[in-house]
Amino acid sequence: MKCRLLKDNFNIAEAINSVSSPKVGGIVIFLGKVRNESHGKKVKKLIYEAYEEMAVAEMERIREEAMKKFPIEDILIWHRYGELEIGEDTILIVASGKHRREAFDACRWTIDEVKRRVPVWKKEVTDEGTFWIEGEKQIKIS
Amino acid sequence: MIMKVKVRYFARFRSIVGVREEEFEVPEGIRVKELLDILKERRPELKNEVFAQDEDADVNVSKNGRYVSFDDHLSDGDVVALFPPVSGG
Repeated sequence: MKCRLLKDNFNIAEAINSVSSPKVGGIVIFLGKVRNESHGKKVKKLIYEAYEEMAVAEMERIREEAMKKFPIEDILIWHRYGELEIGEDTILIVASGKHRREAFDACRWTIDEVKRRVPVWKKEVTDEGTFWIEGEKQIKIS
Repeated sequence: MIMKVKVRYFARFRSIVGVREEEFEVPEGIRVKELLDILKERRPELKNEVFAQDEDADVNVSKNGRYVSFDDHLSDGDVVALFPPVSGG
């Protein structure tokens, strides 16, 4: 499946394999990670919540748009949810093309669209309390 | 005439309301923005915490798993979700 929401870690080799074909001359990968700092606070972990059915449907719509917009061979979007520790993988975009340019362009466009549109929210557990992240805003919970 | 719509809440909005989903009986064929007005009345906590600062608060609305505009009409059985700006990736 090219668009997935999953609890377990990504199998990156499987992802690369699924967008590969003899026509492909270049593959671009974006892999998001849990960082140990946010808005100047020390992050302990992230908890991702998703509107699961819509998140997968929206990722599929973004994927279809990317396939139309860029002359790529294939692209996949996988996103994780649940509790993630520092250093864990959060999102994986893999774009394949005949040439590198379209794969880079599609990968960058797709990650930006996912961040803007896919209904997934992160809760940051930091040393100064727990916060919901809403777009650019950080809202304290406890 | 009356129709039924399901309303789902996510992330901070779910914490505010305290339930994931509830069903409302509303006048047939109303628009999303009219449903929001009904919700503000029946769920004052939403009015106070989500729509308090300004009418155009950052509220995303989807209908049956797709983003909709506040002018869209609703039908019987629609599932409407209310959620804050997203923060995936």
